[in-house]
Amino acid sequence: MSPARILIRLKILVLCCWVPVVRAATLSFDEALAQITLRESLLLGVLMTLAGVTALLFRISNQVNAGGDDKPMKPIRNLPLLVGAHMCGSWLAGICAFFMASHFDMPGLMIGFFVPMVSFGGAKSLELMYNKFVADKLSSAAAAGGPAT
Amino acid sequence: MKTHFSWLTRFYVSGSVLVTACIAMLDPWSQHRGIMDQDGYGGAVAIGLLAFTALAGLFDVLINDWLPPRYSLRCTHRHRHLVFMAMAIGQVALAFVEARSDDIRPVMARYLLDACVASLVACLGVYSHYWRTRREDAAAFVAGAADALRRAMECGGYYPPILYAAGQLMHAQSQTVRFEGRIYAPIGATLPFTTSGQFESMKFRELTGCAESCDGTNEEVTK
Repeated sequence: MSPARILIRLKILVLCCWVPVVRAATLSFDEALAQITLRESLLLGVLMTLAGVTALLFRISNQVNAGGDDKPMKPIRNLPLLVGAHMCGSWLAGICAFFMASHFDMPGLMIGFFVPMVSFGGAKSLELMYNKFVADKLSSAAAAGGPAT
Repeated sequence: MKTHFSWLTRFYVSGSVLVTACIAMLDPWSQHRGIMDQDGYGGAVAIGLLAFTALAGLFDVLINDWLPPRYSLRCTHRHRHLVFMAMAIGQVALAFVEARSDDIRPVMARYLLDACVASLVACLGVYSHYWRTRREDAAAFVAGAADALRRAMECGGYYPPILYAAGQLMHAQSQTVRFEGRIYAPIGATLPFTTSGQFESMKFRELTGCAESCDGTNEEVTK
């Protein structure tokens, strides 16, 4: 099967899933919002952000340490895009994790550790996608002498 | 390896988090213990993890800052930011438990302050490490270019010769190649060109008086 046909089927699948997903998200969202106060939601936001920042620092530090004594460090390209990818992944995964935690009635400290762990995983997942679809193409363009946009 | 950020700040944050964890575990009437007991066994595990990360932070200060450089551990330096971000997340998790109760106690301020300082240590550490490495790379590049220029100037304006081979890009008259013991420079009118497997004497002119003083290699010239 050609990639174009796979893409069309995936789009149809996403369209079919859209309605039940939105319905389920609304139910979970209402259920979760009924249990959470403004203070808690603020702290959850901080937890998700910290998890995203952790993933981002991990990525930058790995890039810095990848350069040895004889090999210069590769500069970070498109930092706003990199930060955005990590934060979006972290927040999306964190919100999903909070819905799950609310659904299963997890205790407070468990939520406090479960949500950032899932957020970290979400940020790393989007980072992998960023590396695959953005960073690799930028490196190829730079190696070919083309504009690194 | 004293590479970034003040050891005193790292020591203080790690010590503060360890003290919090110790109070929670040892003092049954403390506010920290009250937060820990809300989750039963899970709370004890969480506080244990927090104490572990604090000990890792103190270990990092001991190894990399207090002991002589020969004891320094590269891995602790590389993953230092993870330890401090874990501390920050743990502290905010404790504050989250406190926020779920109806009345907020002042102990929440301590959790948030420690979390703030721990995350700041991690972010500034990676930031300074990144820019220091870039500065070092730039300095190494400038030093290499200056060295190549100095060697070229010592040879009367010509770069040191490289052994003639196929596929070398000739783009400047100051480049030189060595072929069968003699030094040649490309003729300006033929530039630029890439050398072939066979020596093309029409594109080169022989240099005399440079062979002994300019010996060496400088492969960067042809790249």
